[in-house]
Amino acid sequence: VTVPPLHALDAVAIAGEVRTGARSALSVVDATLDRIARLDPRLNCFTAILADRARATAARIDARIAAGHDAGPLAGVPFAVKNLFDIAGVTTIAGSAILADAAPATRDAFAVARLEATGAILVGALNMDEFAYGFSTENAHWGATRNPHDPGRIAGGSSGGSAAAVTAGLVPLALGTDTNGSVRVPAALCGIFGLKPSFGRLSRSGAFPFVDSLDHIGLFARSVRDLAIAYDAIQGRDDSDPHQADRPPEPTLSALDPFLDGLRVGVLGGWFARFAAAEVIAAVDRVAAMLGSIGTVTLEGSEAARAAVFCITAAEGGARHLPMLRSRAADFDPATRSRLIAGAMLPAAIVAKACDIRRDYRREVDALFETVDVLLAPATPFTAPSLGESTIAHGDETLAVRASLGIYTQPISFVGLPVVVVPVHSAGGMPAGVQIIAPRWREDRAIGIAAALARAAIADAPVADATRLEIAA
Amino acid sequence: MTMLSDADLAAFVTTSAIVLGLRLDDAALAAVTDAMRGVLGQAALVLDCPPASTTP
Repeated sequence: VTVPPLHALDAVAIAGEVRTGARSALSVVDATLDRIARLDPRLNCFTAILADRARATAARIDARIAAGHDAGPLAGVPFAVKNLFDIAGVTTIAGSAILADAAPATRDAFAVARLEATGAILVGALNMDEFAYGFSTENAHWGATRNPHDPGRIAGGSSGGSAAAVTAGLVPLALGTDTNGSVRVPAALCGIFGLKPSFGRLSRSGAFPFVDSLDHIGLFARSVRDLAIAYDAIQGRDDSDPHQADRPPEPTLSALDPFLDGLRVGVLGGWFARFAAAEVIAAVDRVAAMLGSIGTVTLEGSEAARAAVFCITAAEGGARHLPMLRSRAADFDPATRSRLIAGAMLPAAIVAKACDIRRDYRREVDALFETVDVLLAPATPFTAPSLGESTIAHGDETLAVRASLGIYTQPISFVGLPVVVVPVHSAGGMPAGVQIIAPRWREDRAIGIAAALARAAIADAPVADATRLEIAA
Repeated sequence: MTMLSDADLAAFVTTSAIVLGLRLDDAALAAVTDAMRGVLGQAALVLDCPPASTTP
């Protein structure tokens, strides 16, 4: 019998082995740290590795198991977080150089604490675009994170370190955030599962903010059951987050075997097909065919919605960072600085109009969900571009890579819908991601459909081939 | 409609920087002006939308 290596196991499988004593949590942590040491110099996912903390946590879990106690559903599972999440004793840098001088956080972010309460073990903090304002994780201060499937390509962003770490099998689970697509874009470009829940579902306490009216906590995994179990773990009311909706937890782990007969699946056309590369359209078509789609549907306001969220993001982000821009402008990543300042200068009348567009677009989306149960759309217009690539051709048009990567994710998060990105791999090519978009608060539906697609082998998230990632000693 | 020239845009950015209390050198001002052109491109789409519904 061939025993799969640790990095090939998903979180549920690792926890199963730890809980039954087949592996110790400490051995899992040591193997994880070893793999990070071997592969991360090439990938540049991690900005902090918490070896001492991880080993201490693992020792406590092993002691609980030895004493016959339940160590939790994620016992011994290593995970890592985008470096905008607070970690007690570690400075929260949010991808910046400016915050590197700040005092360390005094407590863990809510989501970090919830994951550790289920037995998971935090092993490190992960690279991102500065202040989460980007889609490529080509960070001027901390370097670019590379795509594990092809290190010459970007991992996507802004949660690029999170996506790449899971793709390379460095950890089975990672936390990210998504304001305009920062979970969904890197999940798609790296070829793994990503979840952006409904706006207001999860507590954002202890996560460095970007745009208050758009920020979401999200998750990355290589299996849908991992997404579900980790998402269920971080649900729950947190009175310290005024933005969180007052809803009870709605677990999803029991939704992994949905009844698909009669499900009305619409494929978003119009804006969501414009600019899409052939391989991306092919991925959507494969998913739509398996689900028995009823055909193409449109949201007429999508282009305006994308423009409106672009303006709101720039304006809110610019306003948030204005004090630091006034005092330390030269210490920002130049690309981030220019866009934040431009946003801060945007006339208020434009922002007010953008808010009106958001209200009307939400009505249009709600009306569409009277006729369909779920929507499909590409996550990105193209697969992972090369590092440093600034433009990409689409027919006779030239698209700016950084600005275009989020054109299909931005309208969806603008109105706070839950989305699972499912990865679709094709022979010889880079993976493409498809957004499974559900009505507000119906994360269970998106997760269930993702599970069905994985069972049908339409969606899968293989660990990247490590042989091309090791740097010779 | 009055068209925004490159000089108008540069003047707007320079004046706004003063209003916001930002100290930027010429290179940074030029970069912000470029970024502003992109933001205003999206802002034009926003402004061109029909009036929003009057029902909140």
